[in-house]
Amino acid sequence: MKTSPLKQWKNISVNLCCQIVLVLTGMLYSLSAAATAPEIGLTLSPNQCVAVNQGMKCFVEIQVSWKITKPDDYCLFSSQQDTPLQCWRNSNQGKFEQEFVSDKNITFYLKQKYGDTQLMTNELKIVWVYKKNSRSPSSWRMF
Amino acid sequence: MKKIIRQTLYSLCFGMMLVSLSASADNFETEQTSEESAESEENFNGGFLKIGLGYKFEENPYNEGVNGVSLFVNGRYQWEGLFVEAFFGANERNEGLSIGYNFYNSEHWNFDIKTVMAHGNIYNEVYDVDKIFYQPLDSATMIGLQATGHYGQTTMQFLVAPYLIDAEVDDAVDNSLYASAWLGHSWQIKNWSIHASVGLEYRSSDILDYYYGISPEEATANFGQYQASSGIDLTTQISASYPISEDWLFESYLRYTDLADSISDSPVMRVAKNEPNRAEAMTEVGVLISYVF
Repeated sequence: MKTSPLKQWKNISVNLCCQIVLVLTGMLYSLSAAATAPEIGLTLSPNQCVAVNQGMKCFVEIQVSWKITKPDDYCLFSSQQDTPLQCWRNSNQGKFEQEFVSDKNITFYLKQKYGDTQLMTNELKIVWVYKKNSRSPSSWRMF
Repeated sequence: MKKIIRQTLYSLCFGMMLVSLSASADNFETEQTSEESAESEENFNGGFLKIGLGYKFEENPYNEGVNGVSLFVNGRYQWEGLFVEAFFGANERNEGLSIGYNFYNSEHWNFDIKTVMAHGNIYNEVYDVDKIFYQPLDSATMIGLQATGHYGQTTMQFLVAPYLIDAEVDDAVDNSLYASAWLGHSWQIKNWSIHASVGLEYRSSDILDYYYGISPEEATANFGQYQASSGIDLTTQISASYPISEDWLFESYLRYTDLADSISDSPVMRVAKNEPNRAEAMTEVGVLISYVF
């Protein structure tokens, strides 16, 4: 049975519209999926601590957040100590919060519980308002 | 008496220089390469500039003081030993502009030759009963030797300035001597920096008599003849700073100065301190936010 040209044109239009809607839907879905997908990595909040004079210890409450693709047993470490800050079992993300005191930058890193490789790292920077320009503290001349 | 004090202060300064030289003798015996020497010298170059804006309350016997928004400027820059300091308010001592030369540094001590404002200008013009009491007096800038010592969080500073730079004041003053001694200590509470200091400022009788004395020719009905003796001002200060960010600083301070008796007892100051918005002692309070360059 022969289809009329008008009917053929109508069928093509409907198919084309459906395909466009499907593509748009897919794009919208992928965009929204990308917007809600959590970042992979290790983040620090805040990522710096400020003290008044260079050499002073800096006090800061840090929140460490991490996310990784593969769930496993992971531990969070800092350059201040050899023992882990906290470990997570069969997890792909975690949060840790604690006050730190330091006059040097602190590096945080994530390792597998029974591994040696640092999987992800981030650094807390210690900065000062008044920087010394000499090894001698008497050059501050702040008095 | 003046000679004894001057001699004692000179001996004290000379003694401190000898002590610091002997204490740092080991440093000179250590071999230094030319590169290390150049690096040490270069490390003393540099400085800071801090500009603050905030609220200041100030009362004193000299003027009607301040009670409102105020600008604070403090800074220091040193290059190859030469330095310029500008201290106008806030945590630092309010000493104004000063230039000098840093000629020797050891682990704990710095020695400078520098200018210091021994006294600000005073302008008195009072229409008294019988005649006008009139005294236009210039500020007195002097030059002297300063020693600053740092031991941990404790700082001490001594200054002896025997030479007047201002020609007009120098012509009127025969023997001038300004000396000061300061002691300060810092504490840290979390990220707060707390600083407290106490200081003594000595001015010779010739200097104080220039500013507060009244000659027979100048005397009027309510401002009788007066000869001022030497005197010592006592200042205490406490301040607290908190870093907002790497460039911004919150500061607050309280400063109190008890003037020498020879100043407070002068006829001019007896009248001045009772004027509206004035007080016998000097008090200053400030709360500000500063940008540190």
